[in-house]
Amino acid sequence: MDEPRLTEFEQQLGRLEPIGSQIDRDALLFLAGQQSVRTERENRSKLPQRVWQVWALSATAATLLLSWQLGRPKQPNPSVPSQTQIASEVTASSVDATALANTPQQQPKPDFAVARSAPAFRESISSWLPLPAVAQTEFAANRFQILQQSIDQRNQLPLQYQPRQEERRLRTVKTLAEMRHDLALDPPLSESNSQNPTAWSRIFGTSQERPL
Amino acid sequence: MDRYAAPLELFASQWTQSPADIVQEAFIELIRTESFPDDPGAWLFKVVRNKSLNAARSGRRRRERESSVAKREALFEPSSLDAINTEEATAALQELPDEQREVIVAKLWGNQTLETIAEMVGVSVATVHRRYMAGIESLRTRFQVKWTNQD
Repeated sequence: MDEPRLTEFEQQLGRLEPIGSQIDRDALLFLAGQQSVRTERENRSKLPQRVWQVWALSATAATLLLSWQLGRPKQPNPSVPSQTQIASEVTASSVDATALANTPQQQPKPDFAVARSAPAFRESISSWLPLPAVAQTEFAANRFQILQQSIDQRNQLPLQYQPRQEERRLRTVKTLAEMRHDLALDPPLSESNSQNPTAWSRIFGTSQERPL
Repeated sequence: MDRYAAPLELFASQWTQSPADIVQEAFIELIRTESFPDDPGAWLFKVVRNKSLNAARSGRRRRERESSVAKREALFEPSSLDAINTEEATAALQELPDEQREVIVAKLWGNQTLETIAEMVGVSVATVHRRYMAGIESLRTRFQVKWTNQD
């Protein structure tokens, strides 16, 4: 609605001057000046204060994130393999390809810890080691020479760490006997015991210690 | 402050015996406000009205007891140049209903628009206009002035 124009009577009324204000102008001016100074000071200090707040928040967030990352146990990520995993997989795949090309079919590797005797050991490597039977036998002999050395070293241990004397001797005799049998140096144990007792003497010095 | 102080005191004097205190509180509130209003005049009239009504409600009994002995105070400065006698104007204004008087004071001495007054009072512009016209007609009758519409 448009403002209606004032009539002459309204203008005469409006010319009446209200009684002078009795408010404390000095106090109001003082308050206004004080407020303007305070506002200016607040505006001036707002920027550093906000920068400080943002910095503090960022530092807190970074600290929490870092502590969470450090405190979390490492778990392999199957979906994203590491460079080491990729390299090992590539090497293994190349080796497997080479072995597959050299051998007619893939055979499991022998378990050296399980093969405690030369025949068993040679049996285990016969399908894995692409060598003639004689070479396999030599390989088994060398392997059991190392085994004998380790047994001797173990015998040097204090008694409490050694197996019982009889068990140790029995194991050693049996192993060496089987080894010699495999190397075709002696006849079978049953036959050597009955027909050629000097074979044990050559090995152990006396046939009285033969356990079997 | 010089522009609004006297009209605001005249406006507040409709409801309270100490209009200067009300106006001073309104100015202090304006100084301390966070966002300065676009129209400080309208803002001041609204705040003064609310404060005056609150003061009138709280001191109604005391004011009624004192009003019987209180001397009618002049609302306008005495002047021989004005065609309308100030004492008669004061008496005529005080005899008007509150709803008409506040509209006339806010418009004639506060230079507020009808729309602003309507927003302040909380009624429609048409209602404000009707109250204004009724109040002016009462004053004209009181002063026996031929109210010739200039339009």
